[in-house]
Amino acid sequence: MARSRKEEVLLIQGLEVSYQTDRGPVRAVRGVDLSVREGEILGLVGESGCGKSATLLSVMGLLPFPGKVVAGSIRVCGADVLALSKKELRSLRGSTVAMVFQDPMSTLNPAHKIGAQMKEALTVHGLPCTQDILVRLLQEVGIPSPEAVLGYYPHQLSGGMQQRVMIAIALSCRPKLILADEPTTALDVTIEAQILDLLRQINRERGTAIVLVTHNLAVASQFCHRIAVMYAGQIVEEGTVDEVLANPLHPYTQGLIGCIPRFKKGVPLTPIPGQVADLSENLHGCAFYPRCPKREPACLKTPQDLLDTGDRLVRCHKYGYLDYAETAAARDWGNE
Amino acid sequence: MEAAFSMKDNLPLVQTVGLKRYFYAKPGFLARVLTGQKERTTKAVDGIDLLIREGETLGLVGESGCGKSTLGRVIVGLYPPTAGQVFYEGRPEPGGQMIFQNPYASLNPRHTVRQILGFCLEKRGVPLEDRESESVRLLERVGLTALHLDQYPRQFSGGQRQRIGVARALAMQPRFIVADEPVSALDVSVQAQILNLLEGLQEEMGVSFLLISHDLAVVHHMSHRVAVMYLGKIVETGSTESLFENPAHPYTRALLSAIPRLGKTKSARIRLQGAVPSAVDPPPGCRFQTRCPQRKDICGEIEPPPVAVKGDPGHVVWCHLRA
Repeated sequence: MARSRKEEVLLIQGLEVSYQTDRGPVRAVRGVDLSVREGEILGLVGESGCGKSATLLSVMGLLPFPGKVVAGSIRVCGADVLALSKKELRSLRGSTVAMVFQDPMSTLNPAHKIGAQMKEALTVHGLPCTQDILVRLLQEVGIPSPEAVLGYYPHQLSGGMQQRVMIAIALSCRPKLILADEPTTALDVTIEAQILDLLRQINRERGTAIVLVTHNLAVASQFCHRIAVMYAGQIVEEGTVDEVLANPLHPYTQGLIGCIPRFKKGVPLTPIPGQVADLSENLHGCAFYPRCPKREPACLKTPQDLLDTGDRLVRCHKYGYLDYAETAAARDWGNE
Repeated sequence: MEAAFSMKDNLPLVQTVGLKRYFYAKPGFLARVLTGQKERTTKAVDGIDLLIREGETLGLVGESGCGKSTLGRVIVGLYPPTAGQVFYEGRPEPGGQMIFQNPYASLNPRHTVRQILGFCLEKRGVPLEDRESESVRLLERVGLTALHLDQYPRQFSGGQRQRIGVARALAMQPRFIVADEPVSALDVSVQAQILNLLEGLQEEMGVSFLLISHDLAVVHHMSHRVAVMYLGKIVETGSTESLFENPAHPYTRALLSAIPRLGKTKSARIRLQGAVPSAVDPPPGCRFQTRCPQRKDICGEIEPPPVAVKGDPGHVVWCHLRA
């Protein structure tokens, strides 16, 4: 895939995450490669349990207890996250890469005022934090009467305002990369639109790269430049938003799109049969095999590789070892 | 759409007249004495007239806190109304069954499927010896099998639990079901399975639905008619086609323009400022006046009257701008 030569702010290679449980290891992420450049918005989409949040949390070094990165490398602006000491990791978080979580009510401390929580983020990184700076940060994310809000407790703000405060804190140290984990899922649709506008504006004005994790394909299609579709801990398709959504190649991506009501009367929904793959079991061959409408015996033989079709990456052996003309033919097949 | 037109001849099945449901919060003794707090009234549902015909799906949309779930619960009788009346099958009493949002919380974790369904069948008066075969018939109708009868809710996935929730509602042989956000806790691939199941039930059995959802794409797909709710009141109602193609209320327009649509390039968006005000002390006049981009003076004083929208006889909007 031809891409502009801007600085790479995030480079993930061969990431594998495993949760040790009583029933054996659950392989939440099974070999993810990703790269995000300056000024780019990447959408990471998939259903619950597909490993999108585990991937993000590994970048921040925040995987919860039984979870562990068992293989691979993660570089943020050149720094090898997995080799950093706790202290170095702490200084990286916030200043270079910041995270916005799904539920602002549970990420803000309910017992501290907004001003104090914002101050903490700045002082930890040794930055000045006068009243003026805090007010300006709140203004930048569109909070009305910021002076008053500094003295509020989180519960005095609405969900949308809380999420704006979270974004203000994430922006306070001017990070190069923002990781947003379902930032609008807890919000109403009119508020969701406000928050996405704000993130887009930050991306455009400052060139901040954003990784947006979402289960909502429509949100991703409106907001992202590139998207990566995950299934069972792997990326199954990756490319520009327009390419992937207008012309999906992987049967799972096609299935996801068929599940979404499209504001057209009389177009039936075509659900994907079955359930999401169980990651505590050993998966042979293609993880999507049991649910795939186009499966054939060959799909189970070897692990599927992520193949470059020229304009995108697809993890489906039907696209393997084709020259370019054949890829075009395969694309027609994908549109059936 | 043909179905929508034939629907007009169908008899009304559920009707609400001036339905209100208020919640009263009484502050504790100390709060009353020390800070002089008064009793607060949350006007969750504040005067609603709705009509649902046989075999019809009415979609109810609105943002969180607008009272849509409370309205659904009053209609099936989970809450008594503060004022007004629900008519079900012509009788002045609430009725119908309910499918809840959270399939994890709405099934008793200590009961097997057999017990969950058996309880409903007992209430319906099905004799003991027929309950097993009837339960199996219900399970098969929602895409499960007899093998699931003696399993507990924890042994099922989210989508399967919601199927059990649907089977439980069907066990009472209702002609009307309130589905309160039936798919919002589910993954998209499973969402489509449940939506297709509900559509199939309507086709086969002619059940009517009140579909409560914040997801406008789901509502558009499922509903014959749509009602838009804001702060305890209906602001616009009409056939799905008319309402989505020709929205008349500024709130409906903002809501529709805020939906992210797959593959559609960004159209001119109407951005609402701020969030929904509290239902404890709703603004006077039109409830939407504090966020309305086209507010006039009259909106702050007088409640807007219902106004017919051209093109669809059932399309009504409560707005001064149209009066």
